[in-house]
Amino acid sequence: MTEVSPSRAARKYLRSLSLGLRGALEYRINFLFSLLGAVSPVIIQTALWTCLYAPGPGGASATGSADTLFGYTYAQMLGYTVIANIVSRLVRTGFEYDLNNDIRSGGLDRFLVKPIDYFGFRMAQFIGAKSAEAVFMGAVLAACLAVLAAVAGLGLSALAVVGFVLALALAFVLNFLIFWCVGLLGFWLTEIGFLFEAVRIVIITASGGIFPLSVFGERGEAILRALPFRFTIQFPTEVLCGRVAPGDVALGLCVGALWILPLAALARAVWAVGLRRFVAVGS
Amino acid sequence: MGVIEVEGLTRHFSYYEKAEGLGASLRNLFSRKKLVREAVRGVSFSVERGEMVGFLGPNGAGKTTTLKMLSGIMHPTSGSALVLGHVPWMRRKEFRMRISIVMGQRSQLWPDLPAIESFALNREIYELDRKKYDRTLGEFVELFGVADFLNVQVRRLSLGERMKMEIIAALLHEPEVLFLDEPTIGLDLLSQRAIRDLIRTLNERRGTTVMLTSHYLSDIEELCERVILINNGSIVYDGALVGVNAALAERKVVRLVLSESVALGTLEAYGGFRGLEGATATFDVARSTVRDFSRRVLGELPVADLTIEEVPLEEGIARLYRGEDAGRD
Repeated sequence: MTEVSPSRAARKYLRSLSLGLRGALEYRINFLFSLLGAVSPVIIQTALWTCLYAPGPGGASATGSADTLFGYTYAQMLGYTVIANIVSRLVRTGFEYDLNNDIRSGGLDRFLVKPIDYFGFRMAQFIGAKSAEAVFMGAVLAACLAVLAAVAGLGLSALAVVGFVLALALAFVLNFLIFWCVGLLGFWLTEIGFLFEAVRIVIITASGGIFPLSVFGERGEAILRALPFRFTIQFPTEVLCGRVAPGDVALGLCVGALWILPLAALARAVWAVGLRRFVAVGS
Repeated sequence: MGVIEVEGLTRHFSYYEKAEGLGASLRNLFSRKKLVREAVRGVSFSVERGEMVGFLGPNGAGKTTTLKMLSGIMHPTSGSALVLGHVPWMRRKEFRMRISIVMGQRSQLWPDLPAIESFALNREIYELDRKKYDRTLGEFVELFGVADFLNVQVRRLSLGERMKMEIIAALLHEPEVLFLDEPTIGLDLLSQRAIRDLIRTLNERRGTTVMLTSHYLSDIEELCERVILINNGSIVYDGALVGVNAALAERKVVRLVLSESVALGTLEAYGGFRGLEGATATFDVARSTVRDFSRRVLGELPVADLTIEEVPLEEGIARLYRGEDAGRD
């Protein structure tokens, strides 16, 4: 048995990461378009909130609480809508299609015969692709924040930015693990393209990607806060909006990080069972 | 002991029967009839280090299934196999570092990136020394003449160029055992030749053990001294390729182009009649009687043209598939 230094083994995943990064750079136009796709939901939601916050019958003042709805002022709600949509695009996965395709077409074979871990490979590649997008998104987000500051008076602290970057990194990892588990359903189901989209909408909603979780009422919010999904969109968004106290940012990051353990364990277990099925059934 | 030792390797696939029609689909919802197909049944053979073995058989004969089991992608239903002393489907890292498989219809390269990127990834995956990697890559690039294409996006390469890159990617870690499943499928003659030359060079210089399946007999003829013929999951012939040819050399195929139509019965009256396609009648004739046969048909039938050919190797192998003795009259 050849003795392998850990750095050597790590290098294959670093290389996978840079491969994902370069792949993302090749497809930067694609990413730009996906970003443009985020524009219409933002407009629709902004229009909806503008309507709901408007004074008069049916508006916020009609419900009694003059300036806030679900605990958000109008400016905060607009900020949330824009940032949550951007975060949701940014953490959005796509590898579940590759994963499913690898399982169905047997492309998984080429990884099984090589001394590389498929999970590690996909994870590294995903993070690589996302870091390329994140740089680009930073600029878009900064522009959006500047507009929001000017139009809606949204403030921004340095602490919020640092917390946001950390929360975003955590969101990548958690979202990867969640969609990895979803993608592995391909071991059992053959046509799951539609399932992916259905699951994605449910998960995005449960993550606070469409509305703040407080929209779901006290009980709904309590349930959703007990699940890991909110750490993928709602938490980073709230941190950037400055709605989370500094101490709670640190606490949130810790709780979110703790979620990695059970999700990673689940991901590993589903993979092991699925793979056993794959090599036994073949393709 | 051989590099590859296979004993009673068997692989079943289960599937469900589905009759035509909506009614059948509905019935299937409640009870399905489970069927079992034996893709590979009790295959045994042994391959020595440095051998190049051609694995031949019609579609669905079990070639790919066998290669998949030997490379560790699939578990067998029963039987055993050792490759380089490892049970392949345990997929130990040490095993994976020493083998490689190329599947002609399945790419392992990154389509959106130049091949050189995939090679670099393989360098890390196989933990190769930089210097050694550069040397090996340089050697292959020169052998294949692909230096100009290294930095081209893989999806923009022609099939032949891509396949050369696939093979380079599979060889960078200098595997001791190489499985090739249809490496030349869909390639033009020049590319086929280039790939064959490379495989031969590899085997000669490094003593790489090669198991190769191909639809093109010329691949096998040029590369392999030994062939294993497999049909319906069982080995029907394992031996020298010359053996197949020698058995066939005793037969000739005579083709007649007829200038006017002749009753089928008349043609059948001549021994060895094989069939009539358009105006061409084909006969299967023992080598020793070809001269007499030709004289007879030229005298008795309205023959516009007559050709005498060797029995194609494909056909001899097809006969072996059917379990016939190739040399039998």
